[in-house]
Amino acid sequence: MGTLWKIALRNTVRHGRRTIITAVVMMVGISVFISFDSMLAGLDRMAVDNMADYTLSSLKIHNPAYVQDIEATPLDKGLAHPAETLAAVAAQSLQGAARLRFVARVSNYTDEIPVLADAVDPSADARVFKLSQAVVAGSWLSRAAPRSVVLGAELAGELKLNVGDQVLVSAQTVNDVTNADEYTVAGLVSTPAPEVNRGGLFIPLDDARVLLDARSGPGGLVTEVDVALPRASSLEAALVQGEAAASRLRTLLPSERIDPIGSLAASYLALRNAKASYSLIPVIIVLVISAAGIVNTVLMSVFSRVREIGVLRAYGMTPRDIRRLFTLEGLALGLAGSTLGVALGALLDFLLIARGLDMAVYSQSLGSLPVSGILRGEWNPKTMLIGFAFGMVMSLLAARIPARRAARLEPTEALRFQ
Amino acid sequence: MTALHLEKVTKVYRKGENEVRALDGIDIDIDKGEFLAVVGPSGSGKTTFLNILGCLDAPTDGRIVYDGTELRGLGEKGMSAYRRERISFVFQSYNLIPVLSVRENVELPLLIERKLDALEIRHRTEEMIAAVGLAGKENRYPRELSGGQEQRVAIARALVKQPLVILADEPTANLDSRTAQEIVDLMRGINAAKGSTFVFSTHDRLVMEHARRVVTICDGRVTADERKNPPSAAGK
Repeated sequence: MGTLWKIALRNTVRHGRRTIITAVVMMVGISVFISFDSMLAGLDRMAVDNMADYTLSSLKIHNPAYVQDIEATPLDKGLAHPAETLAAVAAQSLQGAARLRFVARVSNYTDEIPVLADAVDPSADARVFKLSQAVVAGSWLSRAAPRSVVLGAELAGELKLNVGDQVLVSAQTVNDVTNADEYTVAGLVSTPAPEVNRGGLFIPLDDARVLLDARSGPGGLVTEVDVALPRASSLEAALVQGEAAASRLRTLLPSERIDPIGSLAASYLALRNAKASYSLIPVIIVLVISAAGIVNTVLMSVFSRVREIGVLRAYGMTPRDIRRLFTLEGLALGLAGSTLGVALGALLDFLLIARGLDMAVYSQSLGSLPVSGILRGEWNPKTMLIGFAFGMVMSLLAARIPARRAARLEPTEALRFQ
Repeated sequence: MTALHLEKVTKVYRKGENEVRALDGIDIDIDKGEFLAVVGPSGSGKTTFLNILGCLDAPTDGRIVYDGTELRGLGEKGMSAYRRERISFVFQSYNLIPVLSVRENVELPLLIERKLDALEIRHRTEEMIAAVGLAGKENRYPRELSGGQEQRVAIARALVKQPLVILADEPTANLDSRTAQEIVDLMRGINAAKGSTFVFSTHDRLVMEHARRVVTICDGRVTADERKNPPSAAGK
């Protein structure tokens, strides 16, 4: 085996240019695979973080009956004990915020747009969501300025509303009667979540309870409690952390429905898996090209050494030895390509993580995906390992074709070859 | 003592509907220590004859007894094993492995054979390199050698495993006459000193003159078998 390795390795070095070209193609394939995966992971992370920061929070607590009927946003299925629920969250040293969600219509007295409104506790909400930091005009809600609302920037644009303007908000009360009231636009928010920009209406809890004719005070109507969790090191870690927090809260609040981000964003996460596999198609094409490169390189090596094969066979090497010899050459190529690929992939990963990629350029073409800002890659040792292993296995398989051809050569014919 | 015994050896190639009888009933005994030249016009069957002696090709018909053992129906694996242990080759165009140094080329048959330990391999390799007059050039590569030197390495490679027979197909055809003379002298010297059996095909008058036995093959048959003098005393 030692002699075979020696001959194989020296031949890859001897035909340096051929080796370099093949290894470079492989390097490109594997490094693109690694950095692509890093970017996709970063994109997912960004999307899920944005959902947690602007729309979903990291963990939601509902009345189980509410969730059954969630599309209808039923006001009669609020949390039974909102104060105790918030206390349980606080007992876990977590930030919680009560919200009341209802269907509303916003009007500028000329046009009217239906929205899903969120009644919030202005100060607690700012500790769970980042909406208060996404205010682009005016200010976030405060107890000091009652009877005001914050609107998504696009929604305001559509209704030609500005900070300080009056809006009419109407909704069905808990008694199923339509009620309406006038509010001042306190601020406009522009977030990475398109649905907030297009249809976000935020109103203080107390004002909303008056509008909806609902219970007020500490035990007043609340349809959900949103909880913030500390930022985890990766998406996987965030999902695990969410699940752990949920199960702790479930023991404290056995009669409530508790959903961590993993289940809240389940449909997105399912979608991204499908998207991720489609996005890998170009990478697979590059890798197939490098497989063809290996077949070609080893085949060239076989053809340029037919007589050498004849000599080795004459001196008693078996067809199996010959097959091994050329398989080892393929493997040496694979080793070079895979190592370079992982090294370059790690470098690209490093750049993606350290410097990031500004998504502002792409945000338009990404449509409704909640991504914007600087995209940061994620370290993915598993992907590097997969990339390396894939490179090795691929080169092993690719080398089989020419290696078998070499092994099939008859020694007498090989020796006659000119 | 007989190294190789051939009885009615026939080799037939089929090319489409035509049958080519490359060897047509060859009977010959080759003794250990012989220095035998096979001559004949191109296409007479010399190369086929050497290929069959070298276990590179199996005869269509007839018997071959190698050193008392008949090899028949051995199959590819058995033929490889026999070549590995008992037969060596010297080629017209040397055919050294370009990526291996002189030492590595010479030790290659022993590494393929896998019978000796590293120390013995080293010892034998050095001895053979010295015997062909290339001591001091062990670490050179084939591209750094002249044609004559390359053929010396090829001869050292052929001798290192102490084979039953060394088969050489036109070993001097690519060399100038002076170098050819040197190579023939070298082979002849080794033949005399170690009793190694050489069988070579040649067109070269000079080589024929040095041979102790000249077998002429024509149309696949032995047409002449001329012994110039009895085999050397070393050829036991």
